[in-house]
Amino acid sequence: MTAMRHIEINRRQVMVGAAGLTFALASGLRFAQGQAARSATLSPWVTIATDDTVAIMSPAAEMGQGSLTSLPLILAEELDADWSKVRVIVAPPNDDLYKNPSFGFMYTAGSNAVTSYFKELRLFGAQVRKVLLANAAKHWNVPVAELSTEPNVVIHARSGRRLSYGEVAAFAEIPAKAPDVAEDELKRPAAFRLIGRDVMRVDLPGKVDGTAPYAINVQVPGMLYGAILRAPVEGAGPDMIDDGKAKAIAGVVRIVALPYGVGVVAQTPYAAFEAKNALNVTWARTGKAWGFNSEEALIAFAAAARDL
Amino acid sequence: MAIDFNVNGKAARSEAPPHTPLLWVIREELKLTGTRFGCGTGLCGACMVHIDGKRTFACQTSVSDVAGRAVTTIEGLSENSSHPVQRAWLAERVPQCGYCQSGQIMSAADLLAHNPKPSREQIVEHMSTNICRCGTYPRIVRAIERAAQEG
Repeated sequence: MTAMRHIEINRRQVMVGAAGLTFALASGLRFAQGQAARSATLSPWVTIATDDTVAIMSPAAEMGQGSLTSLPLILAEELDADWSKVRVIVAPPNDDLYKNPSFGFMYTAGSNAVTSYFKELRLFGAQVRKVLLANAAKHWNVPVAELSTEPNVVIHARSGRRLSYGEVAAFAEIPAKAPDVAEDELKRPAAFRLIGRDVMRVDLPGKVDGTAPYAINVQVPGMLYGAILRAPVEGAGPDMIDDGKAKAIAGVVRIVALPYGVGVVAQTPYAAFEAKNALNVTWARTGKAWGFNSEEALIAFAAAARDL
Repeated sequence: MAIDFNVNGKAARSEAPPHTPLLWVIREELKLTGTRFGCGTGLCGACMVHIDGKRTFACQTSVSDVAGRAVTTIEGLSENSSHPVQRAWLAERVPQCGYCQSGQIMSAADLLAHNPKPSREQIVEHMSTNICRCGTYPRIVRAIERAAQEG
């Protein structure tokens, strides 16, 4: 359900074609949820719910390097979000919105996600904070310059009034264009509340209780499973395939000859593996390495090394 | 034909062919995907579960072998990751990609259940059944030492 909702939002983001702040996004979210506004989508990156939850998109693949934590945390820093109220959402595939600035598309590689996204995520966070401040200023009818923030709260110190981000989200009007943020409006490192602190990685609890999602867990209705018996040598392929035993295994749907091996399609993963192991294939002895014997090669190399 | 057993304290039944590895019954039929497929040949430990309280490779165990027995998977190890090993795993930030970690945790829990104060050498020896491609071994050892200490 969650994934569907984000795909729905994503289509609307493509329609408006903007990386900034839009009303279309907020109404899109309302439409997708099929209910009255419970949250304000303040940008393609941030949705603040009236219960004060701050949902932040994470644009890079989590592979254990911590991007699911570090990238949203950079945005949360400039937004001045309360990290305990942040929910991280894996961004849907959309290069226009979530591209890695170093590559121009969504790409996680080269240990560069934090350095590449750093400036933009700070800017996006600062923009959303500015929208919240502008809305609070209008609500209280005070100059925006008199307002400040603490984590998830807008404060008017002169009158002692406070509005949580969730309270602002309930009435926030979102400008058609994202506000400009000058470099010197960003936080100075001394004011950082999150960057540089030891924060629990978002992905870890699921990796300790077994619930972390992996591609192998994906199941769709009517899904079949495949396994490939590969040629023993690169460059070789099947010459003759005896698949009599493999086909007799319950759940096997099809045996497929491939240029580099033999594929099995089955109703369960185990039937696919079992059938793969039951194949009897005669390989065409093509490929340079046919006849190579690693034991003999090791002896030959060792002998050559003694002569150096 | 059906095989009856117990998984994480609940009755389970499988109609799979008797020689089907327990791993696939757990993952595909019971939808307990915390137990992982790694090598399928008992070499990597990603599929480690407890059978009657003893660690076992689920990929090397036929479903017929667990008839009438009690299987514990990572999902059943504790409520809310409260097992000392899981708490230590979080405290030491052990996982990187995480794929092998269910199996690592099940092996570590088995060690401490039978040897509450293992030496470093005993930890390394016991955990040699489990491979981590990310190389989280130093943190695994630290986490087991922590779990042994904090119980």
